[in-house]
Amino acid sequence: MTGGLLIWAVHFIGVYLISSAADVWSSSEAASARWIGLAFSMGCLLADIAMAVWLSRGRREVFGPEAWERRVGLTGVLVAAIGVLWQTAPMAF
Amino acid sequence: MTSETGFDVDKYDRFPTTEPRPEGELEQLEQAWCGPRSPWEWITATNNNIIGVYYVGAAMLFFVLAGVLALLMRTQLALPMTGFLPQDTYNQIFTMHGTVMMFLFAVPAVEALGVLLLPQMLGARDLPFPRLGAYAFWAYLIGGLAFFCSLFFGLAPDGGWFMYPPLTSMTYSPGINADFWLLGIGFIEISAIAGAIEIIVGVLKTRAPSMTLDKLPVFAWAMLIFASMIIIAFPSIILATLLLELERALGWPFFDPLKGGDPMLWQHLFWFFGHPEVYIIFLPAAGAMSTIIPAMARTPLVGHPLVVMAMLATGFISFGVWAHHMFTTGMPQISINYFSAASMAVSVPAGVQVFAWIATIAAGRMRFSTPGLFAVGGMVIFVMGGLTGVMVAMVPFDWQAHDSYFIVAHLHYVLIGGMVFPLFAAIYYWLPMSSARPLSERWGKWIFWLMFAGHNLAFMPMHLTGLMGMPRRVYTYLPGRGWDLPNFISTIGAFMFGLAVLLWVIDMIRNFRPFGPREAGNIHDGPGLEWLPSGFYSVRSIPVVKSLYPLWDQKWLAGDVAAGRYFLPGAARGERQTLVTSPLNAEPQYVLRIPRPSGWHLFGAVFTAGFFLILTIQAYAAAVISGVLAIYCIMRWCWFLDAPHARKTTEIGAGIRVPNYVSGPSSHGWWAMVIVLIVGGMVCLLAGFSYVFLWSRRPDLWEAPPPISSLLVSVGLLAVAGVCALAAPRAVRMARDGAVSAATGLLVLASAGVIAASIVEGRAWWTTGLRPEVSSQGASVYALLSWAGTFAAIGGLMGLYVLLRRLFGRLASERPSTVDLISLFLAFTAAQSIGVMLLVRLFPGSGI
Amino acid sequence: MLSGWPPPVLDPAGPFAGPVTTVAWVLFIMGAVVLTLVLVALGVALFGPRRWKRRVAGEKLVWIGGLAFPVVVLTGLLIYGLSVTARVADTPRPGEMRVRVTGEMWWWRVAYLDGQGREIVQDANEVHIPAGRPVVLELESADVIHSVWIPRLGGKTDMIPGRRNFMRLQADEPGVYAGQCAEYCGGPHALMGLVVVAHSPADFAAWRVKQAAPAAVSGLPGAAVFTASGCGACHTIRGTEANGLAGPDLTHVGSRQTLGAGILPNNQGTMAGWIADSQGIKPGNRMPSYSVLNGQELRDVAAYLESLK
Repeated sequence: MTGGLLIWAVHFIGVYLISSAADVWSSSEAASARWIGLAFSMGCLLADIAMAVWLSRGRREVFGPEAWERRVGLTGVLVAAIGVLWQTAPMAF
Repeated sequence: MTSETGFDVDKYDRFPTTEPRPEGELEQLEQAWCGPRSPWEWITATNNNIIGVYYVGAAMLFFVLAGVLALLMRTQLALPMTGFLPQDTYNQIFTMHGTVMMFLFAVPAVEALGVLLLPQMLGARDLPFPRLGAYAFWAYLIGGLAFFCSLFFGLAPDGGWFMYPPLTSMTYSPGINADFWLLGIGFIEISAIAGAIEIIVGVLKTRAPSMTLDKLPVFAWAMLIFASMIIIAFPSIILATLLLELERALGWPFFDPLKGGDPMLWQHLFWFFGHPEVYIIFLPAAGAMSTIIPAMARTPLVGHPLVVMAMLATGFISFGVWAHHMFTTGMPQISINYFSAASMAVSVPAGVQVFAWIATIAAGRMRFSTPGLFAVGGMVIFVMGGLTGVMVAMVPFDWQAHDSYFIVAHLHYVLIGGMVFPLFAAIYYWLPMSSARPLSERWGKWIFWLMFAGHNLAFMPMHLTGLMGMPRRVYTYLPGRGWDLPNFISTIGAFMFGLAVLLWVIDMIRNFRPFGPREAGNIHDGPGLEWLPSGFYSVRSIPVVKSLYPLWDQKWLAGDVAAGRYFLPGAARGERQTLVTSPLNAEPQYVLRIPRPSGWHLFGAVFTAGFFLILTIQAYAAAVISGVLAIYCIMRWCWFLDAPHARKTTEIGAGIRVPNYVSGPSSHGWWAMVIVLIVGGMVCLLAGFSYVFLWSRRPDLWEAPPPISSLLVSVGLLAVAGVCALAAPRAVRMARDGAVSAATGLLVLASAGVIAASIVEGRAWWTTGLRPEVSSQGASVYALLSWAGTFAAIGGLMGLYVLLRRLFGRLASERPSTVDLISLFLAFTAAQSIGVMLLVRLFPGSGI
Repeated sequence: MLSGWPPPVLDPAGPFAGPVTTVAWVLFIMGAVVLTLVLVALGVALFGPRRWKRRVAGEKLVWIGGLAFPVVVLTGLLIYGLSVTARVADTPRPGEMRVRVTGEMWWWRVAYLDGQGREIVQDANEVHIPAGRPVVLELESADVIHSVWIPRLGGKTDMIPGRRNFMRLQADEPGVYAGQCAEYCGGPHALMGLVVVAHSPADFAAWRVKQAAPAAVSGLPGAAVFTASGCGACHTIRGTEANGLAGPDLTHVGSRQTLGAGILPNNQGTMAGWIADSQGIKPGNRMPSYSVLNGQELRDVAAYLESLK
């Protein structure tokens, strides 16, 4: 149920650490740090997509707790993906 | 539906049962759960119906007190350069207003609502750890009142509720005012964590059978997320207060830049707690809104899974926004932008909830009784606060708005709309559940409109005063800048709000009659289990739940429940019991015997509060005595836990039998211990972050660690201790003589091992000549070692405890919980110590 | 013109404030539109005819209003915000004039730096800049955290002990711009003001020459009172034996706009009042009230200090 949001959390911690580490060792504006961050973000987005596919695959029941939990999980993935996408945007500036 | 525990879910169809209930069953239930009969029993009571009411009452008391402080401030600010309050008094009052509202009102109030409502909503007889709940309440009440009284002696903290060092360091705040904050609030956080443990285990483990996650009331969802967030966020403030107190008392330079410290460390730690805190306050209130609005509109919540997802998402994303309080501190731009993006992302779930409420209102017919008014009014105010929230999430705008009255307006819109109005809605909605008379509807409408108008009159102009350049936290301002008129209007609004609260207090005195034999009952036609007929034992029998809105959808439920036709209709052997179910699908697992009231948790609370408060006034001997007494009381309290059972199983209705005792991951105690360890681990993790952070500021100060040989000794000791600890649960389950003694021996060995390792490691560092007061490296190394060492010392106490229990014959192979839990703790302690030691030895790499 | 109107944040006077004001207006309009939409939806839900109510009653509203709409609006805002941030907050460039401003409890120490970062002129509570070109403020703190905020010239930046932050500043036109400490710094934080004075380039050059010069030798009787009262232990008047460093440099105090860090207009009367009762005017500040001085002495000292133009 919280898989998507966990990916968001991993992404957030990741980009925060990458930018902080870059700030300590060279400059937070360093291009290499941006590329690493971008690659990491893409990885997280792919993970989000994989999670969405995995959640929506196969099972077809519409009612009951499992269907409900899946819906919560899927919408969570969606919101998490928006969050990841938005937090990728700063790398372009 | 697949079963989670192997329980045959078809058995639910046996309910409601049809055979007549045995003679005297109800009387036995009432006897087991009888209310207090003497004044002493009113104090030692543990039942959530009683503690919950006390708890809400205390929180509202602090709301009124902090509100009075707000009125004093508004009086001072009504006109420029007034002398109504002296500067230092004003600085104390604004610090106390923020601190009391956040720590003594908002968090306890929603926690109290949970304690009061959750068991009834979930169909449990009580929370799983009623004495822990009572302990948390008394510690909070005593600690909170003493903390508030510091104001009357001019000793109240005056560094702002955010307590930024170096203003709050010994150099600039030499009095004990700041210590009151650090020790008082640090301690009250412990009580909040105790309450959170209670709520998490309660929601996950004591639901009515078949109350799967999709049928879990939204308020309970909110409380579950709320409590989990406390577990993750509050360790940060506990660590921060510990570090600042260490700097103040012993001169360990965590925040002093002259010795390698950094004031920014405090800001990171404080806001890592402080921003989730806002959502911690908001989520339960939002959960209440998602409960009250459908009830008042008489229709199911629209978009229920979306709302639950929104609350989960809020819980996560709110941990990624802390630095939006630090946009002006010169952090790297790209980091700031990440936080800006996260701050925007966190507003999306809020929007989802608001529109779900609107759609629900449209789907039904909203009734404009007082709870409905407060819900709608709160929603409007919250939306406005949310919109200014999006504004300040924009970095360039925040550079202007930050620390100005614009922020004062924003945060009051969010918190009053997002928490205070929903709380009043909740009070008006749920009060008939606890009181013989509901509150007056006529008065309620007056109170609502006064409060709504007063709020807007008070806080709307503050947006403007902020844009006009008025900074926050000012005890006065100069004339001639155009700030006079908006400030005067704000003051009028504040007094209107105050009048509304006063009217509410009067109406409470007129009509609130709790603990009586009869309640006003379900006057709003609410759909949740909490509206079933109930007594101190909660419901007569615990129903099978087939819907999110059981009272609407299950026709004869109330009658069948009251007739005892569902689970656990009696009190077998006269014990207080509740049913423990599995965390996902709520399948019955075992019957939990609930402890009866006793004095030990109460004395424990008194002496714990005493320890921290006496420490503040620097009477160290008395503080130590109080601390030792607290430990003694808590150990006495634990002593009677894990006691033998007369029978192995209990019939819980329809011929279904479940055990009276389980151990391991199915048991409620195991869950509680794991949560405690998560708290400890979070503190340790954040302390590790602090260590790396301080190193990154001043790598030049870092000296070489002691030689590697001593590390091998201490890690070796810890590894042995960990193995011993992990082996103990297996040992105690061996079906042969001496199993209990073997387990005891292993645990004692493990506790000795962790203590020995702490001593070895501490000595190794001490011999290098590094001292904690000299540099940030010293301070952070010894702080980490002290944290691990404190766990080792507690582990030592546990070793002693298990030894005593063995000697007094209170351990047994068939009751392994005590051994299990202490084993968990010791294994964690060993692992934590290894982590700490490897970090300080091997990072940043000069160790080998 | 009404005092305080238009609000300084919405009345930018330089290129680091202007774009932020535009952002503010965009945000206000966004807020007004969204609030209207929400209130309309709520109004329909509460009071609308059944046909209308049915249209907002479904989960579709939650998807559109709660998810899709905010995501579109916020994505736009985010990108706009990021671009403005990048534009307004770029790092100092070599060759820009630098002024070191140090926050102290509860005033500002100001030093003008040469190309090598050496202090060439000291001043207090006022920052003089040439209009029409960017100036870099190096922000430091001597004690606790302070924050510089001059609303008409841009957002605020904190002064944090142990760190150095930068703030770029530009006033397009000559003029006087009020500022204030925005981070709570204890005691009389409320009364810690700052003034930025922008001169035309020629005036600025003249001001700098004058400011760099020591005080003229004065025969005024107040000079003796100043020395005898021990004022020189805390204050410096270049060109005299007063060389204290704890308080503001007074070499050209008579030419300043304000007294007590932005809280009093500067004239002989307020100067005398400040010296006699600084604790009454700004309780908690580090200067004791010199109530021991009699009226004549006060007038003399004030006259002397006001002569230090």
